[in-house]
Amino acid sequence: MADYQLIVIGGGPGGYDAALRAADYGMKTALIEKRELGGTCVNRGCIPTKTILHSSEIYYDIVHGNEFGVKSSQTEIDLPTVFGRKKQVSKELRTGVAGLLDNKGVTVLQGIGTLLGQGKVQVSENGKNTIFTAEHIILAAGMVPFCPPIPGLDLEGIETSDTLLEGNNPNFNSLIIIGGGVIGLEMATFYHQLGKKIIVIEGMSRLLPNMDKEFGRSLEAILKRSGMTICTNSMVSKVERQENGYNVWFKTGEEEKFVSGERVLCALGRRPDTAELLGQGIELAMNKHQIKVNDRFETSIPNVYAIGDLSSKIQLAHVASVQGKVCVDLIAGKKPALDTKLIPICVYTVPEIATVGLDEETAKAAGIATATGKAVLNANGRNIIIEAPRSFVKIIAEHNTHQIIGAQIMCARAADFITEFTEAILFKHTAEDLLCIIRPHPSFEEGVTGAIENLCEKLKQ
Amino acid sequence: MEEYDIKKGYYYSKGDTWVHKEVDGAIRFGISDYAQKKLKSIIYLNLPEVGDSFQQDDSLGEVESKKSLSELICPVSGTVKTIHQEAVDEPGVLNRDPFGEGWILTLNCDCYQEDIKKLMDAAAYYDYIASREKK
Repeated sequence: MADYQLIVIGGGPGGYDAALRAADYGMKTALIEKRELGGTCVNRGCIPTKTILHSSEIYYDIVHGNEFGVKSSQTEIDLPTVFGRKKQVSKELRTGVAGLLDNKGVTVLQGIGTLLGQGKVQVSENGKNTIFTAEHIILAAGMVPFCPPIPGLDLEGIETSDTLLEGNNPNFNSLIIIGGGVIGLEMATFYHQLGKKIIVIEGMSRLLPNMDKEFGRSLEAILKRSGMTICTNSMVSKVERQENGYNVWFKTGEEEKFVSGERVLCALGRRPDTAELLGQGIELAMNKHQIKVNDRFETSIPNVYAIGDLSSKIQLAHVASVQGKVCVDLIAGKKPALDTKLIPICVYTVPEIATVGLDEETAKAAGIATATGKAVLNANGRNIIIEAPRSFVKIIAEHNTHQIIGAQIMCARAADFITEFTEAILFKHTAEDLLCIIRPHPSFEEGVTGAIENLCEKLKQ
Repeated sequence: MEEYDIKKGYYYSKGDTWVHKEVDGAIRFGISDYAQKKLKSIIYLNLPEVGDSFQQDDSLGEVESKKSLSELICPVSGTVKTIHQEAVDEPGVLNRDPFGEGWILTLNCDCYQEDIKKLMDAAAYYDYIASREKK
């Protein structure tokens, strides 16, 4: 008889939600974590970034508060306190996760979890190795920052999001961010709000290259006007140490240029944390750098599953969480109630960005005839009150059926009202259905009504 | 009728966009003085990417002012060759100098001479504006 019915390797949102679900089904469950419960989300990702962004937002609003009647001659930012609070918030959430797991009777094993084969896992801690057996094993080890082999990117002091979020030696005046994706732009937002000189270098033709092009284009215009330097179509070729920091060389067209800054952040993506995950001789079918899984999250080894960042095309905490729950539902022979396909994606820049479903380009590529309704929120009351940068709502419907198939929002609090569209897409609501809804005034969300009205007009054409 | 700058040698679409073949052969695209005056403070350009292709009269993007949003009508069939990044970064230049520094993009167009036959010259565009102003 196996030690456990389920062992989960990785205590992030995917792992702990899988373990909690298993416990709900009465499965004897263990969870192995080599660092801290909560994983990247709680300790090095979602929560820490949003915590420090809250501090920088307060600071920025006060410094620029004159026209709102908030006068302050000496506003300081105390970075040790900002990062100290970040640690406190993470600790509070970790404690919460630990409490949940304990209440449900999940055994938490601290150490490095390594898959030794079907049904067998090793936990290593302080030189001691212990082997456990399990009927099912879920791999949820997450990802780590990735720095490609560009000369100089391995120089001492080059930051990743992990190291920058530690907040050690936070006092610098300029930061070069290599990578104009989500992580790079959220860190850019934080330091820019603190008054630092920010340069973002992105290799593709726009910021946020994997999202609707209007997000990246609009954000670039906003950030440039706010004083940031944005270099797109710029591929970094090397990084050099210089007296006061670094020179980052990049090629743009035929030209090679460099920019100088005190610090450099490499925000070029993340890779699955498989270094210690697979035992000697253990191989899993891979999909490039990720573990290949089928629709049931099964890997190429029977009764071994992979969820979250390790295997998912979209690497987000809420994706991992849902996948963890659904994976266990399937293991337990239950019909999952959760949808794993429709994933809202949010970026916490200013304005916030949120998207779900298809955008115009992906719909066109899929051969779907669509209509797009758009509202630019220049006349939205809440936007005017806060003097928001350019904000918009776009909603896409299938032309034949009028069913909503996608939405893109760039607006304050976008992350808080994207779910209307997740629901609309999931339950096949039409543009006319959404037209019936009264949205509160004044709100950012009421900008949606203008976009829907525009969509209904377009659908008549 | 209010005075509008209508440059001779430029060709105009019914969408109030213009196209002009420069001395170096580049085919430049922009919005007319009439358009910029109607839009008032232009704050954003939503443009295609280099390499995107359009047919004559397609919408190739949008120009936004504080008050309104207008489609940018492609006056000639072609492929986007260059984007005027300075105009994207500072769209107010379209208000200040719609025919000069306010140019928006250039196009590669194989059928320029054919396509401009379907556009309005300066005199015809003047009449077109006048007919709308009367309403």
